[in-house]
Amino acid sequence: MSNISCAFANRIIMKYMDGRATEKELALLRAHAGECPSCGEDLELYGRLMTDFNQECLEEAPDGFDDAVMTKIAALDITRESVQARVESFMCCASGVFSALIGVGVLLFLNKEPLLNYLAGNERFLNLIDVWASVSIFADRLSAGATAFMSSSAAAVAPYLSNARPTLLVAALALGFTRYILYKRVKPAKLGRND
Amino acid sequence: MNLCELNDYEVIRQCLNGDEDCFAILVGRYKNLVYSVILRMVNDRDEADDLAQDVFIKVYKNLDKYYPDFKFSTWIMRIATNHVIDYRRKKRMETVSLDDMTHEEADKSFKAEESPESSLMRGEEKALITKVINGLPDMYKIPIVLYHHHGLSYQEISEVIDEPLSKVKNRIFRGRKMLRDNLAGQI
Ligand SMILES: [Zn+2]
Repeated sequence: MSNISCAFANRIIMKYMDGRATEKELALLRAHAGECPSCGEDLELYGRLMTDFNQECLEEAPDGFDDAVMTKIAALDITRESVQARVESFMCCASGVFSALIGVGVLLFLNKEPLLNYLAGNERFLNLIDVWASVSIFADRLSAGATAFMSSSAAAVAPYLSNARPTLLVAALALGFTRYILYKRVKPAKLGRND
Repeated sequence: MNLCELNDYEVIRQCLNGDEDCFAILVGRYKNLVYSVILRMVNDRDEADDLAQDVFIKVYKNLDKYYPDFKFSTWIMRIATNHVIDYRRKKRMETVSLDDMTHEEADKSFKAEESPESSLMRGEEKALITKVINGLPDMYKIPIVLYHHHGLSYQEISEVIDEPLSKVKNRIFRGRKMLRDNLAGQI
């Protein structure tokens, strides 16, 4: 009787199927398989599988395969956005949002008096102020310096701005429109062949 | 510059830069691999032809999503196996009749320069083993075919099927056992 166990014989078979079994191991396996019917059957069956696995398995794709694929591709209409185009569209969106925020800020600032008057007459808003009073004391202190600076500079610019309200509105519209045109003109590279 | 000498990634760059004819180079390089693997999975030549074409169209559409982190062959195998699995799922077809394949395989073997008897036996043996492999569920069949028929490493298979290495090894191990048992059950 050979001196390896069935479990060890099985491990050698798996190593053999991985192409890693040594000659010595294979000799041990064969010796064991000669005496052990169960492992003998294993070796025979796995050997048949390996014979099949070792045969050339690459099938040729049918004739005309390439043409069929390329014809189908030609019929596709694929637009690919380059990385650059993606960055540009992101920048367009970002600057659009930024412009909008600036615009809203300017509008709020220019109309601050009617707005504040309206809010002062609104009970709900006044209640809200009460609730937030303690919080806002802290916030006020924190932002007092910044606010002072901003309001003084805003006050300096305000007279010019309030005279130029219609001009500003037109400029903002023009800016938005220009951005839109620019965005539309950055067309992604077209890769379909149907043009 | 000879386009055929470019590596896969360079060819892909060319395609992405608008020279879509370059894609034909990739089709030429990988059509047999894709077709063979799919044929192993569906066991029908016409079906394999259609599916392999679909795979290349999918590859083309997603070319900008390829990153050279892994080999292009691995990526394309991943698309191919997923595509066939999806297709199967849609068709709800788990096992197929193997008759067409087995006759074809047997016919092919006759062309070899052997005595008709021995080649017939070889053809039958091959057909038998093809049948046994086809009887495996996809989760075992795909790793077995990629490993044993197409020589992919465990690591590459793990990238193709997007499963950890341990799972790949386990499936190949269990797949072999199933093949052995099924082969033993054949007369
Ligand atoms: Zn034994």
